[in-house]
Amino acid sequence: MPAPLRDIVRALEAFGGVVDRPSSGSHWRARMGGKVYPLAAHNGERSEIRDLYIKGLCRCFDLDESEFRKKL
Amino acid sequence: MDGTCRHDYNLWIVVHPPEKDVPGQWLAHCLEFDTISQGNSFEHALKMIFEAIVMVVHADRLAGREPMERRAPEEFYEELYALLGRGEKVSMAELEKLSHEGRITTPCATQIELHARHVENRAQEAVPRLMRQFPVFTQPELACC
Repeated sequence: MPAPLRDIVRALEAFGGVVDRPSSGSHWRARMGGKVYPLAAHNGERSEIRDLYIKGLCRCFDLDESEFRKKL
Repeated sequence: MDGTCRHDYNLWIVVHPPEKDVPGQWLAHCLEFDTISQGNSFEHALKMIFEAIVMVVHADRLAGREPMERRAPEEFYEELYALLGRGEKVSMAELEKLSHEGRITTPCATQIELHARHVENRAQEAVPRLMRQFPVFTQPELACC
C-alpha cells in the first residue's frame, strides 16, 4: 500500500529517524543509524509514495516492514 | 599526490510505469545503491533518481561508507536480467515518445555512468557527476496487450 509522505515522515520519527528538508532539490533527507535515504518530495508532503519505495526505505534502515506500516 | 580519489560507477536504473495505487507516479530504482525515487513522468523519474543518487553518494562518502554496499537484493537483479534478455533496445528519444503515447506498461532499464571525485579530508567536495547515459531496454510491444 502506498502512503503520503507526511505519514512516512511521522513513522520514521517514531522509529528514531530524522527527516531534513533541504531548501534546494526535490528530495527530503531521511537519516537513521548513520545512513541516509532520499525521500521524493516533488509534490510536497502530500506526495504519495509507492509501495516499492516504502519497501526500499525499510531495507535501507533495517526496519521491519510490517512494524513500520503499523505506524503509518 | 593531492589526496584525490575518483570513484566511477556503472549503475542500473529500472523504471516502473505508474500503477493504479498511485496514478501518474513513475518509480525509478537504482539497483547498485538500492535507492528509489519517483516522478510525474518517465523523464522526471530519471531526473529524480539522479538527484537521489547524488545525495546517497555524497552522504556515504562523507560518512566513509561505500554506497555499493547498499546493493539491492538479488531478486531485483534477476528481474533486470530477465528484462535485458527479452527486452528491446531503444534510444532515450524513442522511449520518451513511447511513454508520452502511454505505450510503456512494463518496467524499463537503463544504465548510467557516474563519476564521483573525493578529496581526502575535504569531504564536501565529493560531488558526483552524471557522465553518460546508455540506451534503454524496454518492451514496447507489450504495451498493446
